[in-house]
Amino acid sequence: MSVLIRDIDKELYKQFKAKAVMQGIKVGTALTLAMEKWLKEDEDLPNLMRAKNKDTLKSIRNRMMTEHAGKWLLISDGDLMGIYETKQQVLEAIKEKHLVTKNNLISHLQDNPERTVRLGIRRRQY
Amino acid sequence: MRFPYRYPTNSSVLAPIITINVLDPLHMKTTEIRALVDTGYDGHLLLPYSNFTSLQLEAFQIDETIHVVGESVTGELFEMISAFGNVNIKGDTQEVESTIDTYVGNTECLIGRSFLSHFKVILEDEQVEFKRLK
Repeated sequence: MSVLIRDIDKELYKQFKAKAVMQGIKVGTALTLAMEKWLKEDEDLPNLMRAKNKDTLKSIRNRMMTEHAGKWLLISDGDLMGIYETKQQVLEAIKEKHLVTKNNLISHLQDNPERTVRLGIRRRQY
Repeated sequence: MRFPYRYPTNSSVLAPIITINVLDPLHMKTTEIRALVDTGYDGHLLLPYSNFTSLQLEAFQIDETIHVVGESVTGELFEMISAFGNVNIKGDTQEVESTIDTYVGNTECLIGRSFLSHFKVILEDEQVEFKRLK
């Protein structure tokens, strides 16, 4: 498809076009590749944040279980934000600390936080 | 609350599909979506990943090591993401505090036994009916 895009940085576009020419690809193809890469970065960010939160929890869980068994932890962007008595207090803290747009992890300090999910079997037609 | 069976995606067999509202635990965002009643799924709600992110449920993710037994049948462990949320059937005011599951790339929406246990569910004559348990 053809589009008209305004307000592109002139110098940046010159470099972008030069690189496309050097690589022997059309500017449209290079732009498509750049868009795909940029979109993928946004998809990876939640996974990265999730991993960061889990790493933090892993590093503190044993100590927290010893000192605060039964309580709730709130971790956001890899940082421990607080320890709470109830689930409701955690939810209120998410609101009060303006964390509703962040990638958070809530952990209830109890033994065996494991759950088995059974999804069943699908029959698909193609 | 009664819903007629519908055809799910990629299937020529009618199935009990209902309309639900899904909310985050703070009731800031809500979405209406169709969900397949699946008694083979033992959770509350399996949500498409796109809906999970548009409701910003990443803010309410919970820590659980989740073992999924399902289409992989072998019991293969893969990452499932879970968060707190609330679900109600369209037309009913009763919200069920739920654990909402998803995984990256999921496009299915399933209502499972943990949610269904709050209701009497009747599957009859290509309709599904929900009655609140007292």
